[in-house]
Amino acid sequence: MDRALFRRVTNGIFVGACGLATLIALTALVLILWSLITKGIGGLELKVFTESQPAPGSEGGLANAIVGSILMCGLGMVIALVVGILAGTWLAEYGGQTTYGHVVRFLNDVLLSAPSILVGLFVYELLVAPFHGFSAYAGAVALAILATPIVTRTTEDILALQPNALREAGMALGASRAFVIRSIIWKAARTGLVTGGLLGFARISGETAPLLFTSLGNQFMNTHMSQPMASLPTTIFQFALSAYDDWQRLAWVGALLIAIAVLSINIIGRILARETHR
Amino acid sequence: MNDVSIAAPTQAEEQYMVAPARENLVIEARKLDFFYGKNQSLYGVDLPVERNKITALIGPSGCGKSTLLRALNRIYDLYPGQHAVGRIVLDGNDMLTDRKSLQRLRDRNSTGATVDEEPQASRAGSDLTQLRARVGMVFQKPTPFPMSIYDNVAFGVKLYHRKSKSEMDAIVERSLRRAALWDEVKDKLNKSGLGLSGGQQQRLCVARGIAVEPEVLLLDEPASALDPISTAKLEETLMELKRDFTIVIVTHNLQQAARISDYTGFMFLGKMIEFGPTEDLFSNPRAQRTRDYVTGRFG
Repeated sequence: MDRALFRRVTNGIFVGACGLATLIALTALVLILWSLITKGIGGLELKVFTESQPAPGSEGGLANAIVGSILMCGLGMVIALVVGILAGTWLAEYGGQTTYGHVVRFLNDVLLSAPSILVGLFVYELLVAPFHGFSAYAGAVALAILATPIVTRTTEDILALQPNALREAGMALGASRAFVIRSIIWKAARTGLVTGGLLGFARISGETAPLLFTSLGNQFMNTHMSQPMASLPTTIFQFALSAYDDWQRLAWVGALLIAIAVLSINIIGRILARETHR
Repeated sequence: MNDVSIAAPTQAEEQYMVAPARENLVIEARKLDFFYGKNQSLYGVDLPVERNKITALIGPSGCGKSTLLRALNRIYDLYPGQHAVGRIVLDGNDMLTDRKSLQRLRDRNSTGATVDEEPQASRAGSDLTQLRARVGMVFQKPTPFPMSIYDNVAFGVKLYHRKSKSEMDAIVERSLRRAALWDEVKDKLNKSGLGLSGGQQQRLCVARGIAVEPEVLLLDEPASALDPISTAKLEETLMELKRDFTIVIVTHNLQQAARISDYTGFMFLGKMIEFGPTEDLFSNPRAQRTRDYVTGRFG
């Protein structure tokens, strides 16, 4: 065959294969979003946000689950951000090349891919069994354990990307290393740090398994963190498996809410990161 | 091809030094050795820097001129494994007098390699914050901080002094004026420093460096990333600045060294081959190596 033609054909095949793979991935995403929207949007009413979950056959909403998710994800993210950013900073700026640093990084990577149900069992043994009760605190800790390695990893990666010249310039003015990191390096890396937080949040916002062992679920509105607490994923799990149509409808609404929350927090986070960078 | 053999310097390497009068010196390196881990990159280098003059360091890549500059404010301390042995004297005070540095100097002197009177341990010598307040630095690539132009200039001042808003405003304006940047940025002081052009960013870094009123300003190839117009502007700024500051500049550009400096040091493979008034060094170099380099036979 003509050499030029052969090259054009192989090129075409390769581009075609890449395009096809992208199309398959996108189709799956669109189908998921489509089924979420078509099945969830109908049930999206005001009472979803104002009323707690109903008994089968009666009216109600997801307020208890929404509040529970916000409280537990919120506390979990606070823990994960504090621990993760500090740990990532230590790895990137201070101890990353020591033996201890290598061990920490390796364990963090292991934790990064740890099955979430194991984390749930671990927190059950740590915080539920000894205190003889499920609690939202335990749920938040389980979520924090899942988000922390993600935040740690992205923090380390993004700080390592900052040029050494920036650190030297800060130190050359007489600033201490810690001050340079806090006032210059974190600022320069802000977008990346926000991304790390968003990735962590996206991971935990839909986690069900670790919450089943820790916060359990609660059919009533509860804001006491020391008590069992409802959450969107566990409620979806319970409702979707049930035989009642109205519960299943609410499960779809809950799934749609999680998707909307993750999407909007992503968008808001990116806008914030961009604006403060200017 | 050039016919100059580039061999490692031996004890017999010719070295010439025409130093300014000692009482006019502001900072000085004496018999300075420098090590990257086990690799030695400076060999007993002397560098006398006269007050309110521009001193240029020239030499082929890897000759140690940047290393010498980075030793003067001990910025190398950031990296474990890098260390200097010898003396760095700022206004008569030794700056290499922390315990480790003194021990290294003692070890070197006891082997009889070089004999120099030993400095006294002093707190001043190990206070890097103070040293860096007095010896500022501008780097090869512009390094504006990710904050507003105003905050960039105020950054160093805030480390040392608590100033009122109006005092700080005055310092920022004065520094930007001296760095010849004021007219270009006075209407956008609250905009990010990252939005400036390369030449403006570099002058912002100069303004940031002089805002803390250092005695010495070190510049490591500050114009190598700039276009000719920005370079000319920066050189003009430096000529102005030497009225108030002492400047040490590393440059690859021989014309630049000849244009702006009062003293020039030519370095080669970690040694100071020749040091003297710029005019003499360029028009009448004494060492063969200097002659070869400034006439373009190698480098």
